[in-house]
Amino acid sequence: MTKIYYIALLLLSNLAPAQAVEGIIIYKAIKGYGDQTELSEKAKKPNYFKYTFSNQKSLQELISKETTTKDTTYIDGKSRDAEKLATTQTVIRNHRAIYYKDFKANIYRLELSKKNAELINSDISIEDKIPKYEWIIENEFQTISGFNCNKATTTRTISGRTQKIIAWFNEEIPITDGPMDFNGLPGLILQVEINGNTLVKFEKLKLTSNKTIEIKKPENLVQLLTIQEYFNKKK
Amino acid sequence: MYNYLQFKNISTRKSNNTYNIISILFTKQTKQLFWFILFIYSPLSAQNIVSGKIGSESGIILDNANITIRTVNKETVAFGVTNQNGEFSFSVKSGSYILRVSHIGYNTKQIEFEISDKTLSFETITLNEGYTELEEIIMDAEKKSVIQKGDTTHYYVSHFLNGTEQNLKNIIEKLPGLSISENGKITANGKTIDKLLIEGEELFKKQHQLATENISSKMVKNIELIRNYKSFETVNNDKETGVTALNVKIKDTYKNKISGNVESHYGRKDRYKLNIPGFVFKERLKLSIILNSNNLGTSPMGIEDYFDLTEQSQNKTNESQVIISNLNEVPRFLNPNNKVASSQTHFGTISLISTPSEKIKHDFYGIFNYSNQDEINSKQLTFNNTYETFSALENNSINEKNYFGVFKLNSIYKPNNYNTYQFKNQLNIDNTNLIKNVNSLTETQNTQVTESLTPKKIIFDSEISLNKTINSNYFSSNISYHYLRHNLYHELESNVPLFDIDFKNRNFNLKETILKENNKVSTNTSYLINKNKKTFSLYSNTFFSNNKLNSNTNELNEFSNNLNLKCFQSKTGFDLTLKPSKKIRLTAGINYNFAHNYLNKHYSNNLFLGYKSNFKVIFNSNHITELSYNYLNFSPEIDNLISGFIIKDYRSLIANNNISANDIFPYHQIRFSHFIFNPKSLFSYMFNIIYNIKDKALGENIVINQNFSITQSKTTNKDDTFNAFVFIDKTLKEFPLSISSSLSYSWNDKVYFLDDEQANFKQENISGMFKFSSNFKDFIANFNAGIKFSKDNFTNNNTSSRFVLYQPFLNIEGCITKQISWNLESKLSKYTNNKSEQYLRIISPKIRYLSLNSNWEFYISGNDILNLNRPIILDNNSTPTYFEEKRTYILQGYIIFGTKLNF
Repeated sequence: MTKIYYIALLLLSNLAPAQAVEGIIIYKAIKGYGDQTELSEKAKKPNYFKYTFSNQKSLQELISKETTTKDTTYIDGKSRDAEKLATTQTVIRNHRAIYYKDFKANIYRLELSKKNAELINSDISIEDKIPKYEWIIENEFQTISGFNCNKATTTRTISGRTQKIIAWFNEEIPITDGPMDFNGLPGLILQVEINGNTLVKFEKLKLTSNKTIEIKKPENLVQLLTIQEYFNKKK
Repeated sequence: MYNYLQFKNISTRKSNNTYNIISILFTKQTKQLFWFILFIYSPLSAQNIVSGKIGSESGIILDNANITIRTVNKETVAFGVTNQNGEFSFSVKSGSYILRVSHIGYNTKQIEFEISDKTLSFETITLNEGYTELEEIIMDAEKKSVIQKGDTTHYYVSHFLNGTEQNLKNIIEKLPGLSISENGKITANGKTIDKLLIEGEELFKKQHQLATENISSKMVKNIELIRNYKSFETVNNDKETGVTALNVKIKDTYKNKISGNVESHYGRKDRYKLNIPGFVFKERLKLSIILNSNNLGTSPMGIEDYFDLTEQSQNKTNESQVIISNLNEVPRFLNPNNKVASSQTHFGTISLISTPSEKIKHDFYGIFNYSNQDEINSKQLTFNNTYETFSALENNSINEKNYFGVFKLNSIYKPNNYNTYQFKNQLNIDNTNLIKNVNSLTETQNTQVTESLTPKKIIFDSEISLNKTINSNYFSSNISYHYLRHNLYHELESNVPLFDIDFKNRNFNLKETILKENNKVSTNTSYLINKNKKTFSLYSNTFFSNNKLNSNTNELNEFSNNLNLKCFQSKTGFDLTLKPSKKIRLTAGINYNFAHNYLNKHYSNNLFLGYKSNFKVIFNSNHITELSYNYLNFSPEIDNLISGFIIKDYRSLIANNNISANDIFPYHQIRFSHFIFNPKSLFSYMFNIIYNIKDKALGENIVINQNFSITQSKTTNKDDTFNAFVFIDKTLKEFPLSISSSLSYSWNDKVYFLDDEQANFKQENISGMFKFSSNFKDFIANFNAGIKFSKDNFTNNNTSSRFVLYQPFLNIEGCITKQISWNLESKLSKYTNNKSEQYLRIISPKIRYLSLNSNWEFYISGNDILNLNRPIILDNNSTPTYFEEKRTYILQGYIIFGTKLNF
């Protein structure tokens, strides 16, 4: 009897209506860090991610071709011996970035690969619980790309620095997810502004009915660390 | 629980109730009362718990369901998700709220509730299966269809298409501001674009029609219009090149593989067409091969293309130079195809652009064309000489076979952003075999002539050039070699004597041979200095040429030429450009020229000056106005310096009256242009005026007698041309309609000589076009309708001749299903000459069937189906020598069945 019940349950769960969300996320710097308030053309260039949500799992993957660049410019000296002054401009970008969240099992996986300022490759693989944010929902609304979004704010601390996060979410899309590791709002987060420096937003969004997309956990390139272990290691 | 009201009733003292209550506080049951009262009067600490469980109607527990609790004023007080058991629990103050439950895959539920108790527990809230109302949302950050970014206008092509498009031509016609002109060229805001690029490379050079007709609409991803385009070989740092380029981007699925199609059509009376375009788009290689064979009148090029492909590359100074040649050097197959009776063409084009590295580019372009065509026409010619007017009725039957080939190879080496080296080579072969049967009837005689003309032309050009940027200055230098050999054999067989020649026997046969040979070496150097807001340019062009012209007809002295012209010419000049503000440019320049000529050992020389000035206001890259004045000179070619007659046709001779090698013909050129393109309101407008004034021109002296006329080159004192053109195009946003109209007015007023007496010839033309087209996206059909007209008026002294063409048209296209699309073109042409009128009704229906799961397409095409047998149109090409009224047979209409296989 129980066997039939479990089989029936299994069948019913397979018949559960499936809806998947696919989208393109754009990540761009709007202001420079430190003493560089004017961004170079290269630094202004945005990163593009592909976002997929299905069956309580979400995956955000970098799709634009990015790499760390170091450009050297020679400026002709005004002096008589025409000495050339070299200035270098380094823009550090991840060439591989994957954000994976499994809401049912509460697993968060992050894979980042980049070349540092000395152009040496470094990889990060993180596995931990899905980060929890203490959001404050405000009574402000704004239309973002045709969607009526509600404002929510929070702060997060990374390496001792506190960042102010402004997120805009839309309740009509009942997914408590968002770009990167942001989550926990009663609707899909369509836009996040991090500390006034970076803007992450959904540029394209598609809801498909009757479709389940397989989302696999990403392979790790180096040893898995939790978020705390990673910060400890950095010190 | 104590009832507050009870206290009031018991009270006997008729005093303040509050006082009563407070006084009770101090009685025995105070403690309980006290706490009770405090409990009522301190609402701030009343936190309640709302909890519940969410499930689906089919019994599934819903975890990660979104719960939001809001006040009636839409303020969110709590939110979160359900746990693995579908349960939620929140802490709220007492009051009225709305509970909102949502989960992906289910319909959202909203429940109003009031809470004042400590806990409120909902029974399992069931959600019904459903899909989030916005079933398929495609959110685009930019929903606009035309976006302006800097100097580039981006067209998001998919916004304008409706599925009936077949090739690039259909797409361009639907984009606001862009259009295809009568001779197949792509125009932006009324003006032909300077470069057509496919994936950034100029694969088709100026032969836009090869691209627009062969690139299928499925291959096109997006189109951008770039103003101030800088090509690979440009090192000049000037941001305003003034070059307009249209770049067509190809979809990724068509890259890195061979794509193209095989199209074949066949119909009654053996009308056929076979067209095979093939493309390869790779990162470092772009290849296009087009093969075509047809007898429908399609040719790969027109007269404009011919001159562009055979032009000598020495023309660096961007000044228009007019070369008048009387040797009838333009092949007849370049005539607009609607004026031949039958035509068969085989052509092939190959274009290969390879960039093996970032520094090197090789560009090979070749066209080969064989055409065989027949022309049948009859002309009523009216001649006016000083004494009398007479006319001739001429019936012509012409057959021309022509082999034409152009092969260009261009290699560019660009070691860095400061230097470019180029090596260009071009070979041109042009052989014609023309046979003409003429029957000419005048009052005095009936002439029957068979003319055979075989010009064979070969041209070779080679050039090495260097362009260099030094700081912000620009240096350019080149050396080039040009070789031309033109061998012409002309034979006339007549039944009556021609040209009043004394023929020895009754054999009225003329054999003319002309041999022309040019060798030319030239160098050009220029240096451009940019300093502050000024640009100073210094340039020098020098050439040395050796030209020979030998002609002979039947060993007759008056018909023989033996010319050798050696020229050494040099031009040195400088230009100064000022930028008084960001938007204004002022240019002024002067050049000094000297020419040394040896014509058959007779020496002459000449010194002359040229000027140029230009005023330009650039409001933005889509709004520019420009006024310029140039004073230019041109020298005669060896063809104008002949001493003996050259036979042009059975009744025309060419000679020279008084042109000598050191004659210089100056002219003033005034140009004004103003154009505006607004991508937001999809409006474009252009106004253009060109006015050429010649006080000393290479004109003609015409001597006419009953049987033939002689046109001698002679200096005249007037030859002015004026042209004004206005173009307006607007795509409406409220209705799916766009309106386009253009109007052009031009005249040419010149003085010529008739039997050495001064006479005046004026040609005036007004032409215009008005068109409005619909662009419904989802409707079953779209149309465009309008009218084209052209009025020509020729005035020779006091007599005139006119020609009017009215052409209202209506074109409809639509789709029945996704697979079947149809197209109907209808046009009514009314031709009016001085005395006659001709109507031509043209209807061309086409049906296309697209097989969805395979790469096949099927066609039934009709062209001009009301005129399947020998249609005739009128034409008028009057000159100072005669007024002409022409009736000519045009290509018959046809119905053909075809297939197309895409790969």
